[in-house]
Amino acid sequence: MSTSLLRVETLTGQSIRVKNTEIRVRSQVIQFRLPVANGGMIWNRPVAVVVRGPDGQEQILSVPDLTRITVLILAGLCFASMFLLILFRPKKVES
Amino acid sequence: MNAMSNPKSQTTTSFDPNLALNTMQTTLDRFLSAANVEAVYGQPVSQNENTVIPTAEVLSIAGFGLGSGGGSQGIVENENRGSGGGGGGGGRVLARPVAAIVISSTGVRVEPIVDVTKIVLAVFTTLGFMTALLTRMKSTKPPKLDV
Repeated sequence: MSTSLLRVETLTGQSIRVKNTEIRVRSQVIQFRLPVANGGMIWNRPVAVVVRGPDGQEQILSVPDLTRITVLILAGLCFASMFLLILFRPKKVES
Repeated sequence: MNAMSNPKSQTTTSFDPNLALNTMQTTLDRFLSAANVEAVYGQPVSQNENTVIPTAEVLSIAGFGLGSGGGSQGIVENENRGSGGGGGGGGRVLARPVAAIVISSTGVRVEPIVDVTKIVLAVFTTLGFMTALLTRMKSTKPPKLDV
């Protein structure tokens, strides 16, 4: 195990051959280790697929996470509306 | 360790730190196996002309601790001596499908997998939050005048 507190790494898997197509998968690992106690967190997610066709041409297909993108957009809407409320809330009338 | 060599204490359940350490090491090895490409991409599944490779996001969280101690209270050495130890830990692995890589005769494409339940819950949460904000904005009363 790496002794570093935070490690971000892109891993490439072994090539998979299906018919005339060669595929290599890539994933991103974010590894966080607790500095004091034993333990930590590992977040592993797919990033892209490298496809090599019969003609030898390489193509990189990204793997989008539509669920996360949608949830992040909605969370952004929440925060934006909160900031709008702070900026444009009704002013108190001075007596 | 002295308690283990003491014949008196052999009748009681003794704490074996090596066993605990081995268990923790095994758990840690399993935990670290999540940081692998194979944890994210599944085995290719072929059906007729098509081959599908499932992909998933994996989040592993784990933590554990170990402690031991001993003490002597008796006047005579090795009398009423006690020792104890313990360990504990916990963890969780969360996995969620992200996409499927489809290899067909026409080419390779990535088909995203959308978690509708999660999105619907997020939409309702957002709507509730915004409704609460708007209600608060409209119901803002002018401050009371001090007499």
